[in-house]
Amino acid sequence: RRQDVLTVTPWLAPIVWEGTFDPEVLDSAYRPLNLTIGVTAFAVGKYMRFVRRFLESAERHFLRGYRVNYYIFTDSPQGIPRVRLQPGRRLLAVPVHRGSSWQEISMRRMEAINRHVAEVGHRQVQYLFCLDIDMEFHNPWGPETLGDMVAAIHPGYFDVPREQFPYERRSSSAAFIPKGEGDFYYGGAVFGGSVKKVYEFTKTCHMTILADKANGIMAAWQEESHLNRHFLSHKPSKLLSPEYLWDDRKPKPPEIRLIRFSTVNKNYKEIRN
Amino acid sequence: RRDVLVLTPWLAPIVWEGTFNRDILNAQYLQKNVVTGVVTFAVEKYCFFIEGFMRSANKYFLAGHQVNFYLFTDHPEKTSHLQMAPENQLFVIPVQNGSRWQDISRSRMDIISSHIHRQFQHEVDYLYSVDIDVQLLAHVGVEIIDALVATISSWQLSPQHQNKACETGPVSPAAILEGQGHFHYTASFYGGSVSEVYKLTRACSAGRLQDTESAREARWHHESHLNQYLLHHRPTRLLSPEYYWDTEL
Repeated sequence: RRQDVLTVTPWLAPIVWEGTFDPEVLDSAYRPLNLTIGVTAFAVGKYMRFVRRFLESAERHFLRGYRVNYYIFTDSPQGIPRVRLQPGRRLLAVPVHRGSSWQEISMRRMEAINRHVAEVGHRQVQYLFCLDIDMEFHNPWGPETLGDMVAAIHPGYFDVPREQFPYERRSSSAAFIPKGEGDFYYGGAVFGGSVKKVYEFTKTCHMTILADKANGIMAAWQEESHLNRHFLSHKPSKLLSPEYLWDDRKPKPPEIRLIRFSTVNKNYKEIRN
Repeated sequence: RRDVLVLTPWLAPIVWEGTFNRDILNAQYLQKNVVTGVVTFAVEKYCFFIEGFMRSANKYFLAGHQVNFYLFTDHPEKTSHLQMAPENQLFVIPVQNGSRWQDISRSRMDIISSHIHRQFQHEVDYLYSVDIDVQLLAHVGVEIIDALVATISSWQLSPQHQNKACETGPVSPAAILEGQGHFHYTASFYGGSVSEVYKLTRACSAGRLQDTESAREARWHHESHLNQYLLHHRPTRLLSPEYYWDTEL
């Protein structure tokens, strides 16, 4: 039980922190369902270098004991490192085109995920998580994360007043959120849910991204801005605390008892050329 | 709310006043475009409660949203004068009289499940079973709407008494909930999506009651089956004892 942090949103969605749940109880509820959980991650161009660490750490911590399909979206399927996977878990490469800039790649993710869910995903998995590849698992990520529509609270903004959230503030953008509105600032590196909800969500985000493109505008934080806009009007059914989306460059505050998934330090200039 | 437990160990929210924003929830409910039903029984002397129940339910139960009330009664003539709120509908379904209390209690689950199958599933998306001798004193809104919802009983049991129809006294809300996930639910108010309630009522239909049991014991048995089911099919949302405070207390 946690009294130092908010554990339920005003719309009665649980916020998952260490100490709010019993992993055994959840496991006993979810195991019998015989689920397969999907993970999407984009490894385009130089981002391929993150795949090994992502996969190896996922094998140690991500939904251990469950069936998992890793969908690695990449422009060079041959370049995916061979990583030993536990039984019941497999890796599938999804070919994508290399974009002209890292922002563009980032913006096309929604479209790619949506298309993949429509063509393949919905038949193979019941739940899907869409994660950034330049990250590493450090601690268990279990069935406490499963839900209809799941978003993660951005580590940089969980104890910051709403006015300071870096929402898109230009009213000409489809991702616009006016001052005074907003529940949380969600991170774009982690989202997920039932395949149906992920399909709907990625479709809507893709639409708003296209609308902006037609107007010659790119949102402040690309798809993260659009994600936040979507989650304002279609509230997530479950929130993950920043334990599930941490930035290793930040000092760890007392509220964060456990870091489960965090960024890998990298040279941004070098990667995003 | 820091004084009470607001989340179960399986991450189901526990609804207390102060934990939710009804405006946000109302907006979400309207987005979903769903209809909720209430099923209740008024047999023999319980017909006395019909008027009070319908009056308070019309005023407080999901006020402003369409609610279908399904009233099973052996005295349908006692319902002709009931006034419903404009957005609500009343369906009076006659049941047979003269049965023993035990039969009524056991067959309630049967009646509900067969009517879900026959009728309710086509008319509502969510369904709640509420005892007729409940009078609502404050708004019960869309915060109750979820897949499988049970109400924490204001009566709590000591472990050694769980097999008998014997209850210890009421406990303060905070103390109740230190039990680490061992909640005792009341059979007087539960519900959820039509498909979940169907599964629950089907599972609880079985169960033989003994002739020698009193009405109180039979009611206890009915509640016991419900609790047994909910132990293995955990509710997705719990309502605090605020939502059903036994008038005997």
